[in-house]
Amino acid sequence: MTDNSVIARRKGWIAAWVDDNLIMMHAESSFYLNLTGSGGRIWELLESPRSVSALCETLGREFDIAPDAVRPEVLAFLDQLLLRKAIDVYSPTLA
Amino acid sequence: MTSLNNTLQYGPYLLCGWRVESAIPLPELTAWSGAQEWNGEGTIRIELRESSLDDTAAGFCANSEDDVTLRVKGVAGFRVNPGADHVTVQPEEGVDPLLLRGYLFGSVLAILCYRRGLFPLHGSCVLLDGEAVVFSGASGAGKSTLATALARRGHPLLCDDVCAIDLSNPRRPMLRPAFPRVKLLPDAIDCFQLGEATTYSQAAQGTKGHFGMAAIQPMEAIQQPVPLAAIYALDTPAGDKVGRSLLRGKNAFVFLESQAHRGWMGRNLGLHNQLFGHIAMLAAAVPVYRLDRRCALDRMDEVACLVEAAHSAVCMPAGRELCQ
Repeated sequence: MTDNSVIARRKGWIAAWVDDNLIMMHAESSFYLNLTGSGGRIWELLESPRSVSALCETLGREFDIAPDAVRPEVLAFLDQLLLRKAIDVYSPTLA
Repeated sequence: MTSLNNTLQYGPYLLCGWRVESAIPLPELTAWSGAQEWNGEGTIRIELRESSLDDTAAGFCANSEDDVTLRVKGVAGFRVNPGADHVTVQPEEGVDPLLLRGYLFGSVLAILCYRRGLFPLHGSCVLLDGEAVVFSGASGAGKSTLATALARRGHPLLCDDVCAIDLSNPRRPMLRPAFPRVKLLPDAIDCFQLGEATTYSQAAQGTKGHFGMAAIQPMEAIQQPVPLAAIYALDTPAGDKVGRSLLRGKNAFVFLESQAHRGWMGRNLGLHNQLFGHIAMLAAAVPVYRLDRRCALDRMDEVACLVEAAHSAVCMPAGRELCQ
């Protein structure tokens, strides 16, 4: 996964906020995920597919942190979502 | 069984706001008075059939015609149509009518709830200060016993086993009362001195299937939906502490998910999204408390007192959460 990778939600997941938790369920498998902290916000931002760098910029702006500072945690979180088949990662198309 | 009378001669009854006509008597239910046309939802018809029809069916299945069948060995087969307005009961020879109604008011009622867009929470419920308070938890956790203790203190019982919750307004979940009877084991019936108001199952005293369905008080049944004020999570009582603590976020969700009545049936009906949405809405809108309490049956009043005080119209001063 690189800065230019495009992240998209995988189909079949539904999510709802309960207090400060974003609880997600995969409808077919009934597999649950619980996103805390900024994880829920990342899932919200992924309503439309976006690149890792765009994601880091938006989060950096919202949390008043430099995009470079949030990148390691964002990448680690996206890896977790990928592992649980909640997102797809697309490599940038070579022009 | 050769001559089943399939005339819908019993009722109409009222169950969770629905009008019910039945070929079998349902003495636990209150009569439909005609004044409950508030929701306009269709009548449910409960019919009888010979038991041979579903000989091949076992357990639970949603078949190709989208009917749902549930077969309970030694009791009956039950079939619910897609519109959830027609229930067919196929009793086995010599079945205990109380046991059969137990499944009708349990698993079958849960199917009706799922198909009619309600959330069936496993629990017992009383009315406290004009609002519904549910005690939920695994079988044997003491839900019915605690509800009975509160009902004995004058708080009307709203339902037992299946609590039908209407989430059509997500910010104001409403409890739809079922009937004011409670299923109890003999020791609890004796403790509360409810023997005279109890119908017992036919299973021999001292055996696992022996239970009673008790009417708590000669109080008129609550018929209208009431706002849901709180849900109490009950696990096995332990220790000497009596108190409550709020479950938040994931913990509330996980508990409610575990107590969706026959949640696996809802998922098998393909209602994953409905079920998930209802649980999330409920967890977000209604406080879920873990209730710590003592084990002893004869000290149930102490726990009832705590819950009563917590839902009293007069606010308790800070630090007076515990019953003195």
